[in-house]
Amino acid sequence: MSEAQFAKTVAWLLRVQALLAGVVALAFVFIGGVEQALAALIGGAIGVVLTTVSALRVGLSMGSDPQAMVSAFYRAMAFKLVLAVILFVIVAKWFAGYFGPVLMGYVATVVAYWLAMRKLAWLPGSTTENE
Amino acid sequence: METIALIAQVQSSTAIAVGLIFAFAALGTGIGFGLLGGKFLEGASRQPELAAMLQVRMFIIAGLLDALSIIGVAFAALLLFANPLLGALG
Repeated sequence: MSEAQFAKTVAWLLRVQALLAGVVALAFVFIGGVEQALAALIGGAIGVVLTTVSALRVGLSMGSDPQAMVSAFYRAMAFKLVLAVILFVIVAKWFAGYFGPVLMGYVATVVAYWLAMRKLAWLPGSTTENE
Repeated sequence: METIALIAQVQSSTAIAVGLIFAFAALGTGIGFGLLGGKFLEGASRQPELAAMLQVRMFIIAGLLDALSIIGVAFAALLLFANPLLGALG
């Protein structure tokens, strides 16, 4: 799988995350009003931003030797966790009354990873021939 | 005076809870990422041509792996900066 296919997978992942966050926000419009929908959208936006940032950092190391790929991957994940802490602290201060919808929005973006795993399992050549 | 003691009790319990959340999130994520990176290096050394494909899968699984710890961190942030448990005290 080349860099282009990695970019394609990440683009698909981001599209699905945005779609799922939109669906959750739409559901919260009917359940709790516009404020809760906005909070859910912000939760979804956090998920999308974290995925984008980590994918950019992982994608830049594609094609190098495995050791460099793993170290870039660990750096990307550490940065993702730090960024998650910063974003959620900001959101906890601004949207303390709507933290449920924020978390629902974020969890909706996590579902996209399960869908991406399922999609990758169905791709041709997803299993190794030498097994 | 009693209210202040209750607030102090809630805050101290919250601090312990937040510490436990961070500790277990770090432990679980650390073990998971360690296993993930180790298996990736194993696979990449056996079949170097599959390294890029394995990295895509590693990225997807890592997204699931750290999701729960990020949710824990989100709860910890809420407890630290806008503790809803203190609202019950008035």
